[in-house]
Amino acid sequence: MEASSSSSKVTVEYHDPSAVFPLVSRSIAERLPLRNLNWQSPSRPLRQIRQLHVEFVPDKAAKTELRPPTQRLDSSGPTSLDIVRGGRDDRTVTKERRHQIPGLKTSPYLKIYVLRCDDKDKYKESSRNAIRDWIKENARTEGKRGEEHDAFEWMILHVVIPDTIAAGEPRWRESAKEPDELKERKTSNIKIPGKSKGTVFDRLRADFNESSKSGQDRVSQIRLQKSDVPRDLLPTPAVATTLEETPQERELAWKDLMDKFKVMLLVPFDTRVRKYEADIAEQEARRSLPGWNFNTFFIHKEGLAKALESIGLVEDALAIYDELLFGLETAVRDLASGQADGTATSFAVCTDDIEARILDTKVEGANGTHDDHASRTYSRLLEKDYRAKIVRSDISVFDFFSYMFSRQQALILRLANTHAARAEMGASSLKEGGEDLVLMSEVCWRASAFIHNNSRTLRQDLLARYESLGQTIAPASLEALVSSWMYAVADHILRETSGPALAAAQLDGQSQQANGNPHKARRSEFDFATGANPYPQRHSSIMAGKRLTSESKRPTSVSATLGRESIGSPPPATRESVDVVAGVPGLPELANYRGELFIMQRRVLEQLAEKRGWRAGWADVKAADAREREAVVDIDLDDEADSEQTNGHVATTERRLASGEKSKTSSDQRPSDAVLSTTLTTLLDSEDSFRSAYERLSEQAMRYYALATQTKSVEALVGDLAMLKRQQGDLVSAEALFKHLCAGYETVGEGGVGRILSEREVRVMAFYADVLRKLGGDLRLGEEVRVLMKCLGVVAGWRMDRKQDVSENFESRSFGGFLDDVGVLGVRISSAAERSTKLKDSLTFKAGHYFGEVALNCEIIHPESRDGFVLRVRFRSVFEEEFQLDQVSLRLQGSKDAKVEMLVGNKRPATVSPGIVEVELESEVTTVGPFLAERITFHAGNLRFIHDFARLETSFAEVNGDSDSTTTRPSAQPRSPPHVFVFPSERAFDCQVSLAKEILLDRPRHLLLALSSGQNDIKKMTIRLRPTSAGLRLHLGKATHDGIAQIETADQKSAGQIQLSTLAQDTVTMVKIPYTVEQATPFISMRLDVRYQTAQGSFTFLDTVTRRHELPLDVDVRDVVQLSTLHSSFTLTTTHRLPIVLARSMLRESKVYAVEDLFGSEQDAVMVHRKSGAVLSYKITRKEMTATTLSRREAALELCLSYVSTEELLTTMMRRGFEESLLRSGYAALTRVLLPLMVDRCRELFAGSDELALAVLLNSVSMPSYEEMGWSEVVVVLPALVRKAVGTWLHSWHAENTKLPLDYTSDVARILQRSITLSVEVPTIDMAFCATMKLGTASSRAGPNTLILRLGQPVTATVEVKHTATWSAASVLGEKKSKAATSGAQAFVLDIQADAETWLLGGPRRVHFIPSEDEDENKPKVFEIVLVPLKPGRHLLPVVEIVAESTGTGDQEGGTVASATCETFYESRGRRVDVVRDVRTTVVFVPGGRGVATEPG
Amino acid sequence: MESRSPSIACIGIIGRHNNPLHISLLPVTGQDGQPNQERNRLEYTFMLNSSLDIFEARMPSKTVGHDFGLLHALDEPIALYGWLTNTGVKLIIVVDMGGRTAQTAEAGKTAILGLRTSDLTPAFQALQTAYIRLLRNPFYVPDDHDPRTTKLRGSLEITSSRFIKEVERIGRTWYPGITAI
Repeated sequence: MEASSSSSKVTVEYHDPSAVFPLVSRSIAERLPLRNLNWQSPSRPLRQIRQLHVEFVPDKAAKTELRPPTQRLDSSGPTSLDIVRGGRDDRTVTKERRHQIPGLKTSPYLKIYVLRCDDKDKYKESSRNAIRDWIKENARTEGKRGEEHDAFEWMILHVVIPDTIAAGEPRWRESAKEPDELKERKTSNIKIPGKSKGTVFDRLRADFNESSKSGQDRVSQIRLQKSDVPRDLLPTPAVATTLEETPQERELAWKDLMDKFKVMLLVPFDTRVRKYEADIAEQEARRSLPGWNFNTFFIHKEGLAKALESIGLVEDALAIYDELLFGLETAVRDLASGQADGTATSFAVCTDDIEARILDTKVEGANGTHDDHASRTYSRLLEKDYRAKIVRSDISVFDFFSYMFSRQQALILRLANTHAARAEMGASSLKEGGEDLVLMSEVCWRASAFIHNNSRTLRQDLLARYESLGQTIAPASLEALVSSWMYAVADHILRETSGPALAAAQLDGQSQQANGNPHKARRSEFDFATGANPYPQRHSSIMAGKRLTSESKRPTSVSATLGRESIGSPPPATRESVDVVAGVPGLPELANYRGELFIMQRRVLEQLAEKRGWRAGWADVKAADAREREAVVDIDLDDEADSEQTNGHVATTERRLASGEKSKTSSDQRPSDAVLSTTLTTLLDSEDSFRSAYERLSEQAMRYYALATQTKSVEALVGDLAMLKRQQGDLVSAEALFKHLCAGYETVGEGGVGRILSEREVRVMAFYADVLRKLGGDLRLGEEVRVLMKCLGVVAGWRMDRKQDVSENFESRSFGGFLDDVGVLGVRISSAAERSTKLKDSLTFKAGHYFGEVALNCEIIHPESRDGFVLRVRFRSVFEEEFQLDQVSLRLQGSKDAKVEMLVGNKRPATVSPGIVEVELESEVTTVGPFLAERITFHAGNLRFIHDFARLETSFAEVNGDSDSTTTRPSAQPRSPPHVFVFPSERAFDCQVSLAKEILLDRPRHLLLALSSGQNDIKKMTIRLRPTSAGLRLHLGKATHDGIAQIETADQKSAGQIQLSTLAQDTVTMVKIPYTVEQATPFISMRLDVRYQTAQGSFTFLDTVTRRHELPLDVDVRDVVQLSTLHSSFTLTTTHRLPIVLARSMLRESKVYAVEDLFGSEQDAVMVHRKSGAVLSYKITRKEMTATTLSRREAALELCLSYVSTEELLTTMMRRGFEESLLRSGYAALTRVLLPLMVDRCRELFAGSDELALAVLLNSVSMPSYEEMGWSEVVVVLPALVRKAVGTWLHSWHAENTKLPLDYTSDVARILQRSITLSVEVPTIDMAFCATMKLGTASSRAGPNTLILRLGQPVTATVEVKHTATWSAASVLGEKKSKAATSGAQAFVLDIQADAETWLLGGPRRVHFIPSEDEDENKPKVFEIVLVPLKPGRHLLPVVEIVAESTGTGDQEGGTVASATCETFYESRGRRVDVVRDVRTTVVFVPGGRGVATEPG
Repeated sequence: MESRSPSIACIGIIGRHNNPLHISLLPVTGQDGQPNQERNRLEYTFMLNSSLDIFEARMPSKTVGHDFGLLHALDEPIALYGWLTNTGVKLIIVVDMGGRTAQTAEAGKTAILGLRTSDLTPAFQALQTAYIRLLRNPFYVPDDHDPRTTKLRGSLEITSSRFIKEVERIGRTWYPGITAI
């Protein structure tokens, strides 16, 4: 751009009388631009100018000199000089115009006198004067103008030609101290003999440098090398020897020159800036005064901007332009709003040549190639001699904005160091490093805003123009012009900003894709995809979730799949490529804004195409929507057309669409192509070319958006492309694109927990399903159904939510049309179900997503005249059409026993119509108890909808793992699944399980099943019992039954069940099943399952039975064995807290033993408590021996106990009383629910209450209250109809029955009497002894039972031992004698145990003896001993103990040998003797006496 | 030819997880202020959705609770402006530069110049106030409108009719240069 290029450099003018400048120009150019200048002005912070481009211009005098031919020679590349010389100078001359307003002219900052002075003489002769004249002239100019706008500095550059005298003059001297440091030779103290003082250089410095210290050094010297200088310039022969400079010295000389340049440039620059600032301040001050003109102000301020720009402070310049833009906007705004009275600001009404400019733009780049020529033709769009117009104050607003934009754009591009800008600056791109993409993106961003705003200005401008011409412009032509302009500007900017970095990034993406599987390489880095973000990640709790949803869950590679599908388009950039270029700052932004520009172009194209009736992408769907809606509403088109005319033109998109469409349909009048720019004309040549252009732009934009990780925009564009393909009939490509889109929705997972699909996404899926259907095939069918169902789920979700809380009005407004459209595409549940029938496997969905308000009515209903129950499920169908549910089933789970499950289902398919639907679910199960409704399953075709009651309410926060993210949680506690209390009707089948009343302890016990048929005429019945407590064995095979025939089946399956045949109505039959337990358990439990078949079908009775297995009694036996009799005493205690009443007890004699009840057997009922038991005593004698041998069992006695359990009695009495009242009350139908509950509850209540035990003792038991019974919980589950009444009735019943009379003799008690028969084994003893100790004569008898012994007086005692073998097993059972007995030598040991302190024992303490075989009782064995009592007092006689002697310790191989058992009945046990002192001898002690007098007693 | 002036075409309230909370479409109005052109909901949904990308892209550099200014100039008449609350709720206003008939000739002329960023601030502030008022409503449970926490399955959009009316009122009331709504 011409304007910018001339102002972005500093001009240096040189005076080159001897034409040597070209000799140094190349070296100078090599060292340009000047770098790192520091400029500080009082009003600004310190600025560093990193690069300063310098333009060398010959002054007028120099230009007239003959141009040396070397000029071409030494500039082989494009240098700044070359540009200056080559083309620009002519133009600068023509542009050179004087204006009153400064800043327009790029006057030089520095003037250089390039001196060639070969020796001092020449210097003296001519050079000095020439320089003087030159300086004078410049100084004069300076003085005359007196203006600081053109402030400049001057300097002298002495170019030394080799082989001249000057070349021989030294400039540098070596420092003595530091050889490396070069110092300039001092001028004064060097004297060379024979020569005048100093060198030419010294002279120059002395003559022209100001003498003051602060004065500038204005003289510089450059020594040329021989090789640099053309031969003809060298003096021949060489005048003097050239002093060879070291490279270091040469560098230093150059540095000196460059430093001088820097200083010399900055000084005038500073002066100028100050002047400009002063000007601006002055203008600002005048702003409020009348006559102020923005244009004037603009020129002043722009002067500053240009100055800044030229010195390289582009940012500052840009800031000034921004201020100016704002100022311009304000000015225009003021003008527009009529507040600009008194200002002289004026703009041209319209732009004269704009139309031509727009239409002139030719682009040969529809295919995306771009070259310099193309960009240049574009730039003409913005290029114009604006400044002259500004100065004249007749620039149009549109132009003004255009100018501002083009300036800003140029500045930013220069900052951004773009390829184009660099080329203009004449710098080689290799040297300068990369482009600043951030700034390039800034250009794009500004461009889109500029296009957005200025297109309106343009529209206005055009209108005004035609108005001024007295013509009218057709709206279509107007639009075409504006559109052309927009398209062209966007295109221009896109060209300007397409940098190599961007291309590289895109290429990267493509090449990676070409490599095949991009996923493999970079999978782990996907999470860093956001790395394209140039900013450091923020970690904020608020934003924490953002990435998760939007980034990681998105399809990670937007186009990876697309690329492989090869839809005939270049594969767009992938996420992976983003990773690659993630480090480039600004790339995402640039890509983004470029994408936006492409989109803008696309929209322009679309809008123009719509006038031709062509649409692509979603717009087509939109139009289809509109058509449909119009068809539905049936608007009179003429009417609308009229209203349109009255309303005038409406400049909105939609309006234009509508009008465009109408104009097309009504008159088929095409907008004339003449008004379109050529580019657009070609693009809109035909519908196909439009579509391909559309596709190209969409793909471009998509690629850029993908690069910028703008997933949502990418998604939208992919959707557009998919729709385009669909419209073009390329269904396969469309499928791939749709599939890719929908994959994004899929990643969230089934059920849509994380994400709720939007309307837009549903439409995408609806189209996807449509495409799938059209393509057909088995593989696609499943996908199609799934997609359909997902759509339906969303649709249903909306409808459900809407129905709940928003008025119809709102609904119709937001979604009405849209949902119908989806329906048009075949998204219907009936079609989904129908399609699904062809699927192999069924698909499962959550019912809650499709059916609203799924609710179970927990009240059961008993059907007439048959067992079972009916449950009703209600739900809301939000679908508009009717469809069929093949099956609805509900699974119930026992809330006490989770293993009990029931399946309740409907008998015939249910038709679902919109609105509330109620389905009756029937069950054939008869049971009592609470059930949890677990899940409802709806079947339609091959679709299954599952509604889980229990697991429905898992907190979403837990699912997502961020429970902290929620702020409120109003319904956090999980909702418990609905309870269904199932109970049978009064006349339903029943089976009561009880334990048999008679218990034979040594036999298997029995269960009694009372089967009552109720209303059923049972044909066949199968009873199944499953033990649920450990160790319980039910012997079903041995079951007995009366009055009913058993069907014998040999079937293996029927093991563990009893099959019975018919049972007529209202009959009861009993089945008795023996059982055993393997370990002592207090309770046994089992699951009962009775299947019975009637004419109405087959039914099931379910029950879980738990019964108390533990015996209520504990029996303790003590036996005392005598020779002929055995005394047994039984102690009975209860195992339960409540007492039992022992009604009868009897010890039944056996064949061997006779029993004599010591207390009389038929006594009154005895109450047995846990802590105080009853004692029964019996005397057992041997019967006469019979010859046969008997088993132990036969020999055993049997203890028969008949008892009544208080608990049972209480329960039964309550139950009876309650039942009677209930049957009277009219709630008889509830018998089967209330009674079992009451019994259960009573059992619980009575089981553990000590108070009750006391009450029983006192014989006054109070009835549990209503609350204690927990009726309130029960009543809730009853049918609502009777709930309240039953509650009241129960209350009153409890009020009436507070006391429970306990009567153990009542009929009830008699019925409840249970009996236990225990087998009591009489112990068998090999030998029974009876020992007696008799004291001899020395004892005297004091009383009938008391013996008196004298202390210390020996007494002879005899121990008599009698024995018998009557109780031995041999004797009783007729067994063979035991081993010890057979050996005949079983020895026994008689042991006399006497307390050593009390008794002194004489004679043997232990006696071994062998009882004789045929010993007679009358002839006992007698042992004699002597006893000496040692202590006075009352003492027991020594104890005699007889034990069997263990025979031989080592001689038997068994080691220990079971010795014979024996019992000793010691008759003298407990016999006491009084030991007294023998008072007949007394020892008297006389105190003081001589001796001890002993008196014999 | 009548001159047109900018009006709000659409107001979008977008939740923290980019879920639409509410979208109000305001029709193009004619001379008498009567709507004469409904807007296509789907098109605006696309627009709003795409603009979320820009929110995301600019998010790190912005402090939360800020005016995001011009998000996206879509084409000549349509431009999107954004605002982010400190709870991550995004307010997006789509301005149609020719959405209504200019009331005065001056208004029509200034309209051509486009909007200043500050022009929309009152509208955003009013929207935020309305949203805060909605949050203060005890019957409005924010979690029900958050896809992470909600138990609803359908649309999570705000259904408070008062809020909706208020949003529509803001949409209708706004004009460039208004100081407070």
